[in-house]
Amino acid sequence: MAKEKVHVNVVVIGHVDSGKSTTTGHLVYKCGGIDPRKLEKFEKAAAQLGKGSFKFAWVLDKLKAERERGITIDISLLKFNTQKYSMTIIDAPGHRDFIKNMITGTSQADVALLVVSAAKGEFEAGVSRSGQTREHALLAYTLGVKQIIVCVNKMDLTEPPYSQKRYEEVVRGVGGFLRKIGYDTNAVPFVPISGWTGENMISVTQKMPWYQGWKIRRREGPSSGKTLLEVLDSIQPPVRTINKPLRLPLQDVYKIGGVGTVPVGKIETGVLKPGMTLVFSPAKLTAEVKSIEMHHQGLQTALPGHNVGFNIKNVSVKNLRRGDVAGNAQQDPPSDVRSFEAQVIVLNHPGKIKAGYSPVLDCHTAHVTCRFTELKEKLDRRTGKKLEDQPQTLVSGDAATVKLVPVKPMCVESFFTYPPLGRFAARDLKQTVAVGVIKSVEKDQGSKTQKAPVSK
Amino acid sequence: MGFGDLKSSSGLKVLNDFLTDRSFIEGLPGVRKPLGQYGPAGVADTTSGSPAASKDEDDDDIDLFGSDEEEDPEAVKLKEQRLAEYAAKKAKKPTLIAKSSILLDVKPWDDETDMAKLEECVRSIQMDGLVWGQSKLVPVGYGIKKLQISCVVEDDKVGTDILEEKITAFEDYVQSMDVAAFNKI
Repeated sequence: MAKEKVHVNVVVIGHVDSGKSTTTGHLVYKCGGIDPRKLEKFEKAAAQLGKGSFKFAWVLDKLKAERERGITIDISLLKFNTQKYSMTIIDAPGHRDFIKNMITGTSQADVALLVVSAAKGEFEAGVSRSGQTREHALLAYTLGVKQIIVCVNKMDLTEPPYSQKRYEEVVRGVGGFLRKIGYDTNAVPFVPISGWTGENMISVTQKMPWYQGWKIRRREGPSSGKTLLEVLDSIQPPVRTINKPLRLPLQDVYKIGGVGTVPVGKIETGVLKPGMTLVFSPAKLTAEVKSIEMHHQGLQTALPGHNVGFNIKNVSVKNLRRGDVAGNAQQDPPSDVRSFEAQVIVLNHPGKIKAGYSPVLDCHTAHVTCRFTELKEKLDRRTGKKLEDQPQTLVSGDAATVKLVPVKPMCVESFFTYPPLGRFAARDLKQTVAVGVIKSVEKDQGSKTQKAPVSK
Repeated sequence: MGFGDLKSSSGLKVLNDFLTDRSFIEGLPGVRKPLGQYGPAGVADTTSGSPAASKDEDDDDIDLFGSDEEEDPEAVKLKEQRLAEYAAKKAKKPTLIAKSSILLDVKPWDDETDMAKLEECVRSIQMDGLVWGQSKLVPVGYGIKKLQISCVVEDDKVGTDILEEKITAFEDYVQSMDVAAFNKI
């Protein structure tokens, strides 16, 4: 069997008319992401119906219809392989709950693929104030997705078709707003494509002789190529967080007859091994790991990304809950925080936020009300430069450094040390009112970790 | 579009119809626009904070992304023309209902929870704009299985919060729910 490829999550963002679903579909279709038997069936049907050159669109439509009825689970996970990577594509919906899921969800994006339409009027609408393109790109940047790829789509629909002038106009426009958000555009590849006809997606097109290919300069060294597929292969693989201390936020805690207490969660950083002594925060308990299982199979070492269950000694199921974080007692054990400082962006608040505002924060698996005790500085979103000390209020669109105090014990970390435990969505009125990354935490030193009360 | 004369009942009806499936008049999250041409005549525009707010102050207050570009009038004109053509084209197209495909993990209390019953509970949830899809049981470890179930939702009608609330309400069977995948359809 071939060596297992490195896994990369790509989130595809863009305006509703950018053609991102067609582009995503084309990639998955051409890169073997669709069940071959199903594909064969559809292709045969397409041929019989005389769909010929529209085969691809017809097959995509059929697949969409299947997804719409929720028939197969596997279609809801869009996967395909490049030379180097095994990729999962997230086609970002416009759904208002998606942002929260992007922050606390199980599949964090490593790379953002921004699709913009070059067709007349569509580019202008896509990047206009009401388009979602800017919001998604800003969120991606804020949440630490520092690699972004731009597809200038629908090149077949420019006037005249495959217009170099239009391409350059779009590149200038997108480059401008990406720079404003904070991206270094020297490191951003731009590719003129047609997700419909496939130009420059998998193979180089003859229709844009003026296109010299994409070229980027980044810290890890320069890279260049022509097609979108080559761009995907040039991605910097996600940093392995295996060398960091263990952080494992609990999703659930089970009581299993004959076994005992079994917490379950995804390892975010570090490794978990049988025999390890764990500290749970904010539960303030220690316990030894007896065994680990994943998909009903025993594991001797569990790694970041693994969703595992583990059996611990002498802890009652009542003393642990979702939102607790497990760490190694010997290596920077987790602790609950008295307060923390975060950089927030207010997305969607109908009025003004003042000190004392207390929304619910969703951070890893925890769900705790936190009070904005101090609005410290209002910031320029792009440069992070201070605009104002101690602002009285914050409104939608503002970025600021604020101090937060959880009303119940909670374990969070700075984004710098443990990224998945350092980003959050603030929820109020069933909306994501703000997103934030944690700059620093004040650990609760007064709380001594106790031995678990013996329960049986 | 405008709403006509809001002092007449026909104008109010247009506004009322418009608001039956919208919660506000214009704008996406955080990107509110002043009422401008959308508002009725003779009503002060209060969306921009102060009635006399200049364009620049508007940007500071409301625009999520700032604008420090110096645009020349020619370019602005061209852009507006293109936007108008786009809007005209768009108006002719039938509006598609935005939908998402969501894959949920529903977790039981222990290895003895009746998973068939748990699934029955989940599928009993009916909402406008919600269609349940295929499901399977996925082994977790130590004999525990979770229910993985897909559903299709209309973006404007069904959210993950309400799904979580309704699913975890079956507290005899369900310990928690997580979103495993969330995609546009």
